[in-house]
Amino acid sequence: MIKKATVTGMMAALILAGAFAGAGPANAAGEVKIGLSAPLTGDWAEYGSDFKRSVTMVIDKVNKEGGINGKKIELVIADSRGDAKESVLIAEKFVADPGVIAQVGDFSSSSTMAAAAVYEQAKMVQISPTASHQDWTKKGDFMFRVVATQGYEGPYNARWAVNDLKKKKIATIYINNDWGVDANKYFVAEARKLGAEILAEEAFTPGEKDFSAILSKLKRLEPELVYMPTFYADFTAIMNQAERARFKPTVLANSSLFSVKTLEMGGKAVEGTMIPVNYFSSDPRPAAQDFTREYQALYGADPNQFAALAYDAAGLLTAALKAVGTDSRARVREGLLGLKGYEGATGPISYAEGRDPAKQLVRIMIKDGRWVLYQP
Amino acid sequence: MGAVSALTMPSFVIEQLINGLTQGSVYALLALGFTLIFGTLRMVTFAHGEIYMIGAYVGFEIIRALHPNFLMALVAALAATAALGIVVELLAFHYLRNAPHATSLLVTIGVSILLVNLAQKIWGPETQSIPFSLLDRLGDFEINLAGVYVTFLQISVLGVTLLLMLALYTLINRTKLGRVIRATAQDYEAAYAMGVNVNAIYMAAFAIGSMLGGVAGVLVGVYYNLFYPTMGGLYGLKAFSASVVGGLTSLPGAVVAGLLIGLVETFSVEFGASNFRHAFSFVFMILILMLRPGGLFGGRELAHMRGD
Repeated sequence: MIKKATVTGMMAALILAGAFAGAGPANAAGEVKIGLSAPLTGDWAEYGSDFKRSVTMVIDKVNKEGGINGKKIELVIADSRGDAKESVLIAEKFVADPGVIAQVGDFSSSSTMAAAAVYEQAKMVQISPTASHQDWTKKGDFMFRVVATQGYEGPYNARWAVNDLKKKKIATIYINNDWGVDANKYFVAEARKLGAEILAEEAFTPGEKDFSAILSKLKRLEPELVYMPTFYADFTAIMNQAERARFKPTVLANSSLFSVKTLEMGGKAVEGTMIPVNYFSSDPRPAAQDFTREYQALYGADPNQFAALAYDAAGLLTAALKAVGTDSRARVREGLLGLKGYEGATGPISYAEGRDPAKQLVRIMIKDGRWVLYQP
Repeated sequence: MGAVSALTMPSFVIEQLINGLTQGSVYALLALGFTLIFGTLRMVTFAHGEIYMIGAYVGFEIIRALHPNFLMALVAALAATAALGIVVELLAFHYLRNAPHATSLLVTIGVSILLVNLAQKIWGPETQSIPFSLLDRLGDFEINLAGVYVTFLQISVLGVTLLLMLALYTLINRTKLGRVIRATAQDYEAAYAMGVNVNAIYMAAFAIGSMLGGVAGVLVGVYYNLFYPTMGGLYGLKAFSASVVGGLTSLPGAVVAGLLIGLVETFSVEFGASNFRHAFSFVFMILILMLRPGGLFGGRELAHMRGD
C-alpha cells in the first residue's frame, strides 16, 4: 500500500511538473531527445545491447546527415533491467523531460505494457521493436510496434499456404499455450476464409514428447500441408517421429523456429520446412542488405533479428520526425501513421489505425541443412 | 468402441496399436519397478521417475561420449541406476526404518527434486539429443508389417518390457532370492527371525526396481532421442498410477495396466482429443478403480504369488 501511495504521489508530482513546464517539448536549443528504454543489465542484457547498438547506429547516421530539420538528436539511454517497475520509472523520467520527443522500447511485452499508460497520458509515442503482446497496442493511441505478431503472422501464413502454395487440405499441430493457441486460431480462421479445408487441429501439451498418435492420425487424413506453430524442441521431435512413421508432409511453420537448433536437432527430417521471419541476413532487399553491411562494418558482428527490429524502430521514428518536425510530441504519432511502405531492414512497413505493422515478411526454408531464402 | 468400425484402414489401426503398445510398455516397465518396491517394502517412492531420467542420461553419455553401442548404454544405465536405487533406499528408508511413513515419502520427493536439479546442473535445462551420425550407428532398422513400418527399436521397447516382466516373475517365483523377497514382503519380522538379512533384501528390491527404471530410461531416451531433466515427472506419475490400477503388488497387473493406459492415450488422440490425452488416461484409471477398488489384479500379492 505504501508503495502504491508513493507511486501515485510521484505521478501527481510529475503531472504537476508537466503542467508547469508547459505543454509539449518546446525547446529552443538545437537539439531534440529520443529516449531508449531497454534491458542493458540482467537476463536480457544481450537483447538490450542489440537495441542500443542499432538505435545508436541510426541516430549517429541521421545526425551526420544534418539531423532533423537542422536539429541534432540526442539519445537518452535508460536501463530497464528487464523489470516492469523500472520501465515505468524510466517512462516518468522521459515524460518529465520536455526535450524528449518520443521513446523506443522496451524489449519485453511486460515492461512495455507497464509503461504504456505513462506515455499515453503524455501523448508521447512509445515504439517497441519486439513487444508482441496483442493487447499492448490496444492500451492507447501512441503505441507502435515493429515486430509482426501472431495476429499478423498467422493470416500471413494462411495466405502463403492457400494462395501461393495452392494447398487446400490443411492440418495443424500446435503447442497448447497462449502463443500456440493464438497462432493456430489466426491461421485457421484465415485459411478457412480463403477456402481451405482444415482436416484436423491437433494440440499437444507443452513438454509432450510422444507425437506418434497424432502423426498416425494425420498420415491417414493425408493433408496437403501441415501447419505447425511450435518451438524447435517440439518441432524437431515431431519431424523426427514423422520421418520414422514414413510421413513426409509439406510443412509450414513460424518464425519461432528460426534457430540453428532446429537444424541440429532436426537433421534430414526438417528439410523443406518453410517459415516467415522478420529479418534474414541474406535477404536481397536493399534496406536489409544496407543494414547488414552497416552493422557488420560498425560492430564487427552479424546482426540478429532483435537488432534489425530496433534499427527499424529508430528508423521509423526519425523518418516520422523528418516529416512532422519536432515541435509536438503528439504529432509524431501522425508522422508514423503517415509513413507508407517505409523500407526497413525487416521489410516494408506501414501502419494503419491499429498501429500494428503491415509488413512483407521474409520467406525462408531449410535446404541442405541450412536456412536459405525460400524458392518455390 | 463403436467408432472403430468407422475407420476403414486396417494398417492405420495397426500403426496406432503399435504406437500405444510402445508408449504403454514404458509405463509398464516403470510400473514394474514401483510394484516390486511397494510389494517388498510396503512403501511408495516418488524418486522412481527421476531414477529413470538419470538412467536415460547415463545411456546418452555412453552413446555420445564413449561408444555408440546400445547394449553398452543399457549395461551402464543398469549399473548406475542400481547404485542410485541403493542410495535412495539408504537415505529414505534404511536410516528412517522406525520413522513415520510420511517421512520416508517426503525424503523420496526431496531426492527426486535434487536429482532434477542435479541433471539441470550437469546437462543443462534444455533438451539434448544424440547427434544423427551416432544415432545411425546404433544399427536400428525397419520391418515391414502388413504395410506398416515398425522400427527394431520400437519392437525392442515392447520386447524388453515383456522379457523383463518374465525375468522378474521367474526371479520372484523360482529363485532363492525371490523366495526371500516374498518372505520379507509377507512378514519382515518373521523373515528376520528366520535369519533373513532384511536390510539387504530391501536394498536388492530397490536396486532391481531402479534398474527397470534405468532400462526404461535408455529405451525411451533413444527411441525419442530426447533427453531433458524433467523427463521423469509425468512418466513417473503415470507409471505409479498404472501400478495402482494394476493392484500395486501384482507384476502382471502393472504390465497390463501400463499397456492399457498407453493404448487409451493413443486412441483418445485418434478420436479427436489430442490435448486431453493425459486427462483421458487418468479418467480411465479412475473408472477402473471405481469398478475394482483393489485394482485389476488386486489381491494377487507379491508375497502370495505362488503358494509354495
